Formats: sequence, structure tokens, C-alpha cells
Amino acid sequence: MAFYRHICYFSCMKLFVRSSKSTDRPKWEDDRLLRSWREEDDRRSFDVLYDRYVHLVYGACRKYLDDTEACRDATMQVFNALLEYPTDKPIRSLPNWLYTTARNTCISLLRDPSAKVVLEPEENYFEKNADGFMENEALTRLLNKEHPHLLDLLPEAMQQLEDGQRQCLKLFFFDGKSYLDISQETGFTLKQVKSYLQNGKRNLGIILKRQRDEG
Amino acid sequence: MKTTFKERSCLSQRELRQYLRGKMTKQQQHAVEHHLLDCPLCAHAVDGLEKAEAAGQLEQELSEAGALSKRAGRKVYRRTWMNWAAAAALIVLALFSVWQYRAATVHERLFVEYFSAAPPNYLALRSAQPGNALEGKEELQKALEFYQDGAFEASLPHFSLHLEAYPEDDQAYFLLANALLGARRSERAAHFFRQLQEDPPAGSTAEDIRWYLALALIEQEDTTAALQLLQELSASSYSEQALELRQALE
Repeated sequence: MAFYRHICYFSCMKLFVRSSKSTDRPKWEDDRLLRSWREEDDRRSFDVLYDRYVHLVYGACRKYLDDTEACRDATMQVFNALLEYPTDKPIRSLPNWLYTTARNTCISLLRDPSAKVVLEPEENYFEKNADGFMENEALTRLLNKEHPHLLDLLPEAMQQLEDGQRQCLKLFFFDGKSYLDISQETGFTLKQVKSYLQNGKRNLGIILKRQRDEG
Repeated sequence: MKTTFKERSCLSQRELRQYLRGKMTKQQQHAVEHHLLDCPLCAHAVDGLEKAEAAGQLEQELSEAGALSKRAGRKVYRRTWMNWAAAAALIVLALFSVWQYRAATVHERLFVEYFSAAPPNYLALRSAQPGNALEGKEELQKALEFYQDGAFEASLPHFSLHLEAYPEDDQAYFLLANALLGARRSERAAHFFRQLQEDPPAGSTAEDIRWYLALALIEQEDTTAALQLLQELSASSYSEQALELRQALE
């Protein structure tokens, strides 16, 4: 009798844990959802990740491909690649992994003449842009977690940047202006503003790291 | 200043829509743009969907992208489905194995319950005529020692060596067949018993051989042939055991 009581108790606990797990999933971080999906084959965790990123993957593909049908195909391919990705290979940052896979998928679609996809004319140089993001992310990590004291060196480091970059970074980081505000205030195009911010932040990271290494 | 480099998560669909339509507060917009500098996925998504928004197709494209989720879901479900199918196949296999094991167990149990190796008649001969029957037959002596200890496997090579020297020794064949049966080599045992059936060796009868052949067939799980032999033994000295076995097998 006691045995059956234990089984009932265990089943109830399991149901409780399962139900609380299902309602909590959207609040989980990517790492936890990935672990749950990849290690426990938890389909709902994958669904949450899918809902979290499908519009972004589609949007990223849309930047490279003009044909919406091709974008949808590329998006499917990216998530299928995630499904098939070996569980013993770690995914350190899911957004970066999705971006890289989306980019590679679009490149292979563009190289396939039978796919008949059209490259967005102004984005022929997208390969060049990717590294800048990674370095910017590294700067954020550097300042937030690894060496927060480097923030004190920012004003001095900014002096070493070229004018456009310094101006945009100052307006963006110190004055809290948006891309559009900066564009209106400086007369730079929106694209130039993004480029100055992107490259300026990367250069800032390089300067700060050099200062850190020099002690 | 320390909040300048604050990290945030990727843009939700709602945030993306609000940002593209300029419906965010200055603070929200700045936080998003700050994230866009760090996150290639969101930055490229914003760039890509800006075109859709400019063409008045954002809602349609986002909804189509959202509908993809059902297609992807189907793929996931297919994988889960395959898991379920694999699990079902495993269960069927397990049930089949259990059924086979139980069937095998029945035969095995009956065999162990009813098998008792035939006593060597040499010993009776030896006691009647001391020294004669086994004299000079070292291999046979060793074989019988093992045989009587129930070490049937160990007795086999000695029986074989003895039979090479004394191929006319039918009793040794009969005991070898028993030893083979005791060592669970029922197929070879049955082969010897069938040969001996025609001309039973001294000290054993056709019924004895039929009985051991029936046990060999039971060990091989050849129920039909075993039942037939047991039926033939219904009027013999084995009638009682044969009836029990038949009932158990049927």
C-alpha cells in the first residue's frame, strides 16, 4: 500500500514539475532552453526558441534576399540546421549562431543558380559587417563583466577616434540620442551614423584593450 | 555611465514592430539601438524588415514568417513522432522477446525437470564381471568419471577418443548422446539417438532412445515432433512421464 502511495506522490510531483516547467519556459534564458531541447529532447523548449527568434532570422535573411519565398525557405533551413546540430557541439550564443547560419544559408542560396534568388544590391559587402558586431559584443562584455574600471578611461580613449566616429559615439552613448537624432543633428545619413557607431565602438574596444594590456 | 553599456535580450516581434514604426519612447529606442550595435541578428533583421515596412508588407511578411512555425513544428513533431514510433517498436520487440523467453523457458524448464542422464551400463557389467568391461579403456573411464559427476561437457572429448579406438561400442554412443544432451547440444544428441533408434545398444531399449530423443526435441523447442514421440511412448515404461510432458507441452 505504501508503495502505491509513493507512486501516486511521485506521479503528482512529476505532473506538478512538468506543468510548472511548461508555463515557465518563455521566461527561460536561451542556454536553459537549448539544454532542455538538446539534452532532454524537450520539444516545447525548441518551440519557445523558435518563437523567440523566427522573425529575426526571417528579417536577417530578408536583408540579403529580395525574394520573400526564398527568405522563408532560408529561415526554415536555419531552424532545421538547429534541429540537426550535433548535441555535443556547444552553442555559445544562440543569436550569433542563428545569424551566422542565416548568413551562410543565404550565401549558399545565392551561389545556387537553380534557386533563382536575388541579392539585395546594396548589401554585397555583408561579410565585412559581421566581425564588427562580434567585436562590439566583446567590448560590452569587457566593460560590463571583465574590466568595469576601463569605463573611466573612455573619455581619453574617445579622443583617439576619428571625428565622425567620436561625434556619433558621444551623441549616442553620452547624450542618449537615437540614430535619427544624430543624423538630423550632424547631417550624416542614417547609414553613415550606423557605420560610425559600429566602427567607432570597435575601435574604442581596441584602444581600451591596448590600454588595459599596457597596464 | 555604467548603464551605457547595459546588455539586453534580442528584440521580440512586438518590439521590432514598434521600433520600425517609431512607436517607442526615446529611452526604449536608445536601448534597442544600443543592442543593435552588439547583435548582428537583430541589426540585420531590422535592416531587412525596414524594407518590408517601407513597402507596407511588414505585417504580411511577419505573419507569413510566423506561419512557418507550424511547418517547423511539424518537423519537430515528426521527430517526436519518430521517437514514439521507435518506442512502440521497442515495446513490441520487448513483448515479443518476453513471449519468446517464456516459450523458451517452458521448454527449458520441462527439459531440466525430466532429463536425467541414462546410467552407464558398464558399471553394472563391471560389477557382474569385475575388471573386464573397462579394463584398458582409459578414455572411457575418464569419460564415465566426468559423466557420473554431471560434467557432461568435459566427458565429450574422452567419449570421442574412446569411440575412435572402439567404434563398435554402441553403449558408448548412447552415453555420448546423453552427454551431448546434458551439455545442451541437443541437435547432435538427436542425431545420435536417431541413429541408435534402429538398433538399440545393449542395456538400453528402443523406448529409452525414443524418450531421450523426445527430450532432445523439447530442448530444441520442436514441440510437434516431441509430442509425436511422447504419444508413441504412451504404452511404455515411460507412459506416466510422457503423459505429463504431453500435457505440459499442449
